[in-house]
Amino acid sequence: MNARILPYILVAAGGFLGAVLRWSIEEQVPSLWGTLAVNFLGCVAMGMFMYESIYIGNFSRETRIFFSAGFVGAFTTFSVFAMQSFQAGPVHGMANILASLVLGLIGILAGRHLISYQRWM
Amino acid sequence: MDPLVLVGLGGAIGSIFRFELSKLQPVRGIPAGTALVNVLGSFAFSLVVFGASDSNLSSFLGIGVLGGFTTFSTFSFETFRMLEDHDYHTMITNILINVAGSLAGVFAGYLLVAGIT
Repeated sequence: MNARILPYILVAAGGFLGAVLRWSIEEQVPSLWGTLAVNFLGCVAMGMFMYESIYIGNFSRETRIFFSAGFVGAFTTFSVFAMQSFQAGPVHGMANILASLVLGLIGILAGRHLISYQRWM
Repeated sequence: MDPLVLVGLGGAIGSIFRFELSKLQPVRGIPAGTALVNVLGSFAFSLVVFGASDSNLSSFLGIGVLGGFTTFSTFSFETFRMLEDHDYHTMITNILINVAGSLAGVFAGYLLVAGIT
């Protein structure tokens, strides 16, 4: 396949799956709790994929593009998070913003730890 | 069409646009691509949520295209890297631009739709 269009096909395929999975979870857990869970889980996965290249380096560039730019990028969402924070009112909205920010950073750290332990297995 | 397919196709399209914009050079250490997709995407999402009456259209555009266009994971990863580098000034600025920018985008979309209808 043409090396220039392959990344776009990978991003589109990953984005398709990520958006569908996010939608399925949001259907099960509507409200900001579903978004919080989606964004946290996505950050754990992102931490794993981004640090995989440093700790292990088994994944090809194509695999990384599919998962990080495609799948996890589309799975997590900033627009729904912003809308729900806006609609929740000042107190709950601010609490949602703080919780999302902190959980996002903890998620990346957790993903990094998970992948760094894999090296010894 | 099945809403699942609409959401998926939207997610694929939104991801391609995000991927293109992610190639933008950072501005003063701030990842411009991520900030742009999140602020722009939140504004457009607000127009869809407050403006669209058709549920197929909001599934495709809102949940699919704009949900897939904006990203929390890349934003968190980039913020995490700033924290690791002890670059707190850039980190706080990045958080403020993304969070305040997207909230302002949502509010602007709301006002725009309310003004038209």
